[in-house]
Amino acid sequence: MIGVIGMSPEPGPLGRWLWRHPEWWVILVSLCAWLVMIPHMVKPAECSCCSSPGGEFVGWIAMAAAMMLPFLAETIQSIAARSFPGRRASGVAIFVLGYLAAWAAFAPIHALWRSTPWGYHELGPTVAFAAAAAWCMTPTWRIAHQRSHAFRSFAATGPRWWSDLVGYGVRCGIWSMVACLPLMIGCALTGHAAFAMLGGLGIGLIESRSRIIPQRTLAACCVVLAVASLWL
Amino acid sequence: MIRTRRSVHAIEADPTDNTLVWYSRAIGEMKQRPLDDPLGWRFLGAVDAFDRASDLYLIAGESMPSGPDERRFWHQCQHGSWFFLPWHRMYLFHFERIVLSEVIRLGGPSTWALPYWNYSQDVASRLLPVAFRDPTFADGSTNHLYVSQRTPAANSGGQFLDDIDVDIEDALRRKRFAGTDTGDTGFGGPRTGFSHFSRPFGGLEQSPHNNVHVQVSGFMLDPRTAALDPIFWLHHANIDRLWEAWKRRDATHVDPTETLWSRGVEFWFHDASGHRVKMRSEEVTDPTVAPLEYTYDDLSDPLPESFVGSLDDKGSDIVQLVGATPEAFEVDLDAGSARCVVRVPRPKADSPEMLTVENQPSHVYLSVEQITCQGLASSLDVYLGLSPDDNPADHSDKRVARLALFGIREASNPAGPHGGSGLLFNFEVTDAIRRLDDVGDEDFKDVMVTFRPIGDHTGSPVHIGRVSLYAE
Repeated sequence: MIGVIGMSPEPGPLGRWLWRHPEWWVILVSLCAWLVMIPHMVKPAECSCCSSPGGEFVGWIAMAAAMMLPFLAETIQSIAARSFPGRRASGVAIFVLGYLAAWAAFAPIHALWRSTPWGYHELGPTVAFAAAAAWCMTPTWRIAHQRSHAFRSFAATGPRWWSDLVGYGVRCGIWSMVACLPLMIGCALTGHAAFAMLGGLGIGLIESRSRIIPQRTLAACCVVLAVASLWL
Repeated sequence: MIRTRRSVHAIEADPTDNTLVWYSRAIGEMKQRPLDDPLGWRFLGAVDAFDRASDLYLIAGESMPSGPDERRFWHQCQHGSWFFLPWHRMYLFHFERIVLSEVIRLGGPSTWALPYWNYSQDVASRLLPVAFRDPTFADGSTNHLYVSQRTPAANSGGQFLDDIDVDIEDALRRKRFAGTDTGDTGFGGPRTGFSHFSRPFGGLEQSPHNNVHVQVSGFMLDPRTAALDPIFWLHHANIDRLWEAWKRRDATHVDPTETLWSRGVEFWFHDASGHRVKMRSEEVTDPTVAPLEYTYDDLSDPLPESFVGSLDDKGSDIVQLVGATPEAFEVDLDAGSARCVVRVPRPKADSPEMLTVENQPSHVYLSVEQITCQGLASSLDVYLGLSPDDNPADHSDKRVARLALFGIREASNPAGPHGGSGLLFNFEVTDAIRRLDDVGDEDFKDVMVTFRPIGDHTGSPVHIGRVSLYAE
C-alpha cells in the first residue's frame, strides 16, 4: 500500500481567499506600476525622465507591467494550481519574470528609436495606433492573441521547473508582444499620455471580456486613439 | 405542448413508428441547402465546429457566411466547460425544431421529437441502432441516417463499445455540477467562460460522451465534423437525458446558481424560421417549461440500487499538487504501451506536510495534461501500478480510466482557438492509489502510470506534457 500522501494543513478564511487568488500580488505590482506612470500620464509633454534613454527604458517596462499583468490572472491561477503548495508564489514569480523579460527585450530598441531624430515626430503615435488598427484585423494577430493565452505544462520540481516556467513566461510574453506591440508603441510615443494608457487598457479589457474576439471593435478603438493623438 | 423524446430502441421495436424515416427524409432535404443557409445540414454541423479542409461536402465556389456570422454562429460548441450541458441542450433544441419544421413540411407528424440512444442500458443497446446501418431503406430509397465513415463494426451491427466506454457511474455519482481544473471536474465541467476545449472535461463529458464519439469514429471522431453524423444528435439527446436523470437521483444534485453560469454568457442560434436568437443557461435548466417544452420517456435512475447516493464530498475547494512526472514524454501508438513515473515527495518529519490524520486527502486525482497529437488518435487506457513486465491487456483490474481523445487534432493546432494547449483530463484514483505498493526511494514514492493506445490511429505519437497527482 502506498500509504498516505502528505498535504499541507487546510488554510483559514484569509488563506483560502489567497489560495483562490494567487494573482493578488501580481495585481499589486501592476497597481504600483500605474502609480509610477501617473506623473507621465498627467503631463506627458513635460515628463523629464522620458527624454533620456534610461527613462524611456524604465518607462517601457513600467508600462508593460501596468497594462499587461492584469490580463495574466487566469494563467497565474493555472500555474499556482499546478505547483506544489510551497512553490506556488515562486512559480508565479518566475513566470512573471519571464513574461516581463520578453517585454523588456524590446525596451532598448524603443529607447534607441527615441534617441533618433524621428523618435519624437508628432505623427509617430498616430502612425502606431493606425498600424495597431490594421494589425488587429489580420488572422496573424488573432493567432498571436490566442497563443499568448495558451496553456503549457511545466515540471513541478528540479531544474526544469525553472526553465519550463521561464520559457512559459517568455513564450506568453513574446506572443502578447506580437499581438500588442503597435498599440504599446503608440502609448509610449505619446509620452504615456493618460488617454492612450487608459485607452490601451480599455482595449485589453474589451478583448479579455468578449466571448468572441471583436476585431472590428478593437480596430475602431485603435482608430479613435490614432485620431485623438493628432491633438497632442 | 410537451413533446416526448423516446428511446431509439423503443422506436425500432415498433414497426409502425416512422420517427426515424421522417428524420432521414428531413436530413435529406436539409442536405440540399447551401453551406450558408442556417437551416441547412452543413450549417448546423458547423455550429458545433467547422474545418474547410476536412469538409467532404465542399463545393468549389460556394459562398460562406459573412465573417461576423461565422464567428457568431460557428465553432460554438462548449467543451471542457460547465457550459457543455446547457449549450448542447440549446443546440439540440434548435436542431429539433428545425427538423420538426422540415418533417411537417414534408407531411410528417407534428408530434415528431428527436429520439435518444441509451447505450448504457445493456450489451445489446450498445450496438448502433439498426436504422443507421444501411445505405438504403427496404424500398430502395436513400437512408440519410447512414454514414459510411463510421468504424466498420458499427455499421455491420457488431460490438464496438466496451463497458468502460458507456460507463455512467462515475459521472452520475458526482455531487457537484461545477468543478475545478485540478481536482473534481464536476458532473457538468469546470467553471469557465466561453470555452471551446483547453480545460479538463466534466464527468459526463468524459464518459460516456467522449468515449462514444471516438468509438463510433468517422465524422464523430472530430468535433469539426461530428454533427454531420445523424447519430450525433441521438447521442447528445442521451447526454441531455442523463443530465435530468442526475438531478432526479439526489436532492443535492442541482444546477449552478452562480450568475456567470446562469446569465453570464449568451449563445446564438437560428430558430426554425431562420431568425437569430440568443439563449442563456438559465433558460434551459428545466426542459419541461417554455421555451424548451420537452421531456424523456425514461428519467429513472440508471444506476442499480446498490449505487444509490453520491460520492463523499468534503466541500473543500483546496486541491493540492502532491506529485508529478519530471518531464514531458511521448506515447508511441504503435509500440503497444508507454509508461511514466509520477514522483510523490515523501513528507519530511519537520515539514507542514507531516502526516497527521487531519492532513489525509479524502480524494486523490490523476491529471493528464497537454495531450497533443498531430495525427489521428482515438483513446488511451490508463493503468496505475503495473510493473514494466506486465501486459496492460491482462490487467483490466488496474485500469483507472479511458481517455477518449475527442477533439485532439483541433486542440493540438498551435494556430487554433487555444494555441495548441492540447487536451486535459482529470479523474479520481483514490481507491487505486490506496491499493498500490509503496515503492520508490527515501525522498519519493513512485507511482507507475501506463498508457495503452486503443482504437484507430496513425503513426504520429501522442505527446503528454505532464501527469500529476492532486489531493483534496
